[in-house]
Amino acid sequence: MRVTEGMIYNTTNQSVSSTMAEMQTATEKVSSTKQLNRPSDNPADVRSAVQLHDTLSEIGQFLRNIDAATSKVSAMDTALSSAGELIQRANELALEGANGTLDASDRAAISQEVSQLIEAMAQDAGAKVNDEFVFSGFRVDRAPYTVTGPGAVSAYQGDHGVTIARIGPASTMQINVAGDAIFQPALDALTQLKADLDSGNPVQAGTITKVQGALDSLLTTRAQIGARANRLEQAQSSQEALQTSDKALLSQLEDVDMASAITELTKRQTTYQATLAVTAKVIQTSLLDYLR
Amino acid sequence: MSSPFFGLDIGATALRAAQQLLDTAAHNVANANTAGYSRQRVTLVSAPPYTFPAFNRSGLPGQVGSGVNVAAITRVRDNFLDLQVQAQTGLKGEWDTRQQELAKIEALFPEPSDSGLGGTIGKFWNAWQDVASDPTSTAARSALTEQASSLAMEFNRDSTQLGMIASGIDSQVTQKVQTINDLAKQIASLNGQIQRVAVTGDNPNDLMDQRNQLLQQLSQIVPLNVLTRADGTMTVLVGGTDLVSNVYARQVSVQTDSTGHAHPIWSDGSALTLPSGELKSLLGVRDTDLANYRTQLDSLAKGIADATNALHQRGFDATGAAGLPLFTYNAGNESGTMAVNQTIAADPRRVATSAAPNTPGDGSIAGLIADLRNATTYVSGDPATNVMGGTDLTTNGTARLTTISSSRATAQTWTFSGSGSSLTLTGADGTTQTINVADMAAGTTTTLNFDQLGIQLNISSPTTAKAGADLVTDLTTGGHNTLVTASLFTPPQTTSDFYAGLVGKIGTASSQSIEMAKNQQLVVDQLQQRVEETSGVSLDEEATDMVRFQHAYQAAARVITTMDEMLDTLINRTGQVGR
Repeated sequence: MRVTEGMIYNTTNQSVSSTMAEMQTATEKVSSTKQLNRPSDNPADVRSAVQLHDTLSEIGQFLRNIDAATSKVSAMDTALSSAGELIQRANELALEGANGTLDASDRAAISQEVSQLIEAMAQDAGAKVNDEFVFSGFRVDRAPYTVTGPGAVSAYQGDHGVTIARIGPASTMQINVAGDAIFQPALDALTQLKADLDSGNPVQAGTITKVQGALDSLLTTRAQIGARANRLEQAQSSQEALQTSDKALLSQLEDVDMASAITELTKRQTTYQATLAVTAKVIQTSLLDYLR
Repeated sequence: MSSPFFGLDIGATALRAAQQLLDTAAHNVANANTAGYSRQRVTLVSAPPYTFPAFNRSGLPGQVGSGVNVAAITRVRDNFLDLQVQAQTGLKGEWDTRQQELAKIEALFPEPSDSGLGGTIGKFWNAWQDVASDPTSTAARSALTEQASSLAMEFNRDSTQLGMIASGIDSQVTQKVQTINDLAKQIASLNGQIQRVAVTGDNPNDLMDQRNQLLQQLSQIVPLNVLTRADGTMTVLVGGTDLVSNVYARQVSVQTDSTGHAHPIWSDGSALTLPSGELKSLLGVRDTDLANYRTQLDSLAKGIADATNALHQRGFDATGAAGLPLFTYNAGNESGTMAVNQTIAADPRRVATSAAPNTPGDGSIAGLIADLRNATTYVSGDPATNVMGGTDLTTNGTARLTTISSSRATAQTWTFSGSGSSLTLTGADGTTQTINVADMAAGTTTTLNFDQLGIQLNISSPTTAKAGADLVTDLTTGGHNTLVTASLFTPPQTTSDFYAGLVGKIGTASSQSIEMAKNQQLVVDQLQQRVEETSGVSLDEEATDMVRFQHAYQAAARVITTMDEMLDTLINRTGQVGR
């Protein structure tokens, strides 16, 4: 086989440029810390990674939704806790007012306090999150009950719209409760109590039952809301767990294992240096050095 | 006895031969690095010996050698190897060009990442979810219109960039055609020069090397079929038609079509067939790959826009008006012209989130649009003839059909039928389900859940109680008893799947072209080494030969000196006896 200088130069050139190209890809991986830098690096993995990015974006959104829902639910819970105390107090006052030995001024004093309770309850019903009323259904711009006079409230002004939160893929949850379902029985009971007291007679047994009934239903609703808060918490943990495992999956596909990448880069740098050293030796020797 | 000058003459031929050998070696050394040069060799042949058989031949023993002649100067070249090199160079040009153009296209899709088109689409769906959880928030609505704008602009940008790559290819095509014409003219002119030399019996070595070099350059651009003629000229055929024939070069010209794209044709208007080469690859990328990706991008934009618009128009905005189409586009160039409706962009209150007017806290339409992220179909159609979200149900009291959601994979038309309080929904493909519709109390909501079909209807009844049978009547009376589910894409798939598929296709095409270009490079490199092995100049070899030729020259000079002394003896010292 005949070998010319041209062939030797070609071979060394090709070796140097191919080792340089390999070194370049290794350097890119180390400096970007990613093994997928463009779709052609590994089309199948890139496809999976693109879909994982979308999934993670969606999970992030679910967590935000859960946060927003949680603040609404806890505002409702706070309002109901306060309303519960009001009814407890009303219960005590009802029992006190049933006592036949009270005189007119005593009953007037109790009636005054019941008025206060009614107005306070209307205020609790007007709980807001982000400037939106949570107990008005879709009419978040209107308070469910307004105070029309001392101890008197309007009819329910909201509607029965159901707001839902998306807390997971194909998983939704109703967040709100219509204001009149919770507060109407209580307000009706308190209004009746006040009417009884104002009438000058002892509070009737039916009224007391009504107040107690209102308290029970409020506690039941509060338990429902509590259950919703729990479900939101569970949804949050499960989405966070999914997020962690998806991030790990994505990292496996996308990210470079730094230790092995740096080792690879060092190896290729060494190869490159060896190629250069050999090239230097080989291309310098020629017959003309030895001819006189 | 032959003349004493005979020997002198032999010496002279030896000197001339050695001179020629040295000159040729010098020429080889000088051209060691000339591209396409093949080493030249002097063919020596002994001079015609003396004497010829004839009546007047001298009686001396013969034949006597009469020296050396330079018969020819030839170049060492393997013509078959040249043809192989041309063929493989054409393939290399093809794959190299394809790889370069696909790399440009690939750069438009920097995936996987959160900042590419896929990330922007995801953020768009997320923005709808934020609006759904907080419909009265101006911040959430503004964020949505911003995100919709970003999405439209990114589609516009990608479409424009693809168009620019296509224009870049157009100018490259024009340049290549010019190069072809230049090379063809040069080859034709060389043909003429070579022919004139060849007919005199000489070898036009350097000219043939130059012509071969031009042919190799040309073969990278278009595939060649080269025929060598007896007179030394080469006929070059491209796709069956002769490009160069003798001294005539046919011209290639560029025809621009209605979309502004350049197509190469023969100057007489006939079509140019290109089985391989750079030119073929450029046209292939522009007319097949790019066009395909552009169509897919358009489909992606159209799918998102149509589905969003259909749902948005069934909703009501914060001013109480029905929703306008959120996105506008021109058919045929959806991704390039996609834009957000100016009215909505200017006033975030015009984002329709509710299923009915005057329900500020209702984000159900926004929620349905957000659900398009994982949907393959959505509910569309003409409200005059189909049941849609927002339709009022009016038999014996008004209820409103607030929203319809579809998790069905197939697009088709569905029909309601039924009697009493039993409602049946049947699809055009025959799938069907019957459910019982309960009575509705005033102020309640209910869901008609066709769970086996993946279709849900949400109904609200604001004023009075409504019997289930009345709802059935509302949904089965003519004019409002059909429901249309449409696909976002063909074949049915989610937005994320469609986008991932597009990125995958681009990645696969690009990665394949990188591999093929690499392989082809190795093939061409190997062939070049074979060519170099046969025709390349080895400086060591030439140096050794030069020593040899130099000795030959010295010996020849010595011969002449000897002859000279002989003649001197004969002329000056013979016949001097007795002087």
